[in-house]
Amino acid sequence: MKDLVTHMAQAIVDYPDQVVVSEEMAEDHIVYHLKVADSDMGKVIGKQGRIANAMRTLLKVAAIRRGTRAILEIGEGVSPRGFLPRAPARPEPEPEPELEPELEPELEPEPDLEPELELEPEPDLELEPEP
Amino acid sequence: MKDLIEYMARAIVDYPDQVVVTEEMEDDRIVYHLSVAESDMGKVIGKQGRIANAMRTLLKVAAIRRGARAVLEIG
Repeated sequence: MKDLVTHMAQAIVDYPDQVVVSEEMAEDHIVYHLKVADSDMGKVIGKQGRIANAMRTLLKVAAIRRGTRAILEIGEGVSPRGFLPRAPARPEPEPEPELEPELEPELEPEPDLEPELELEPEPDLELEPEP
Repeated sequence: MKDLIEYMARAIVDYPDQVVVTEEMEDDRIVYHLSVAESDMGKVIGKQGRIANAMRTLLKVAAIRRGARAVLEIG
């Protein structure tokens, strides 16, 4: 899948040799980090993140096919020149899976302990007197 | 650009060896025709054409970079 990201990015930038993709395993998904020449940043993001999202769509399908999840991050956040909107470079937050409301454990009322055990008074043992 | 389409398609189908891309010049644009295994058709198109459109978006940018226009047809 790293190849896929590399391939897609190289096809659309002006400096394909400056495309670097690194991958990082997170708990249950893989994070791909794409770096390109500064002047190519706009190309891999696109208007309103259209290109970035197209790459993410394809990456997502490729990941699902392999039974995993993948996230694509582009660049390193806000550029020094500050003209790159941060939002499009970030993966859209996945909708949180709806958690089933936690079931309140039904506590069984503790049965009143009846401590009053009526002990039968031990009968006096009538010991047979030993002969 | 043919490479790009092949690469994208192969990454998402179950039968990568059945991915075939042909290209055809038509006036001022290149028409790419992608065919995949029948059972993979849904995968390359996606819900409401999302996957197909993602591939088209990338193809379009790649074409513009090369000063051309490209169209992707599937099936």
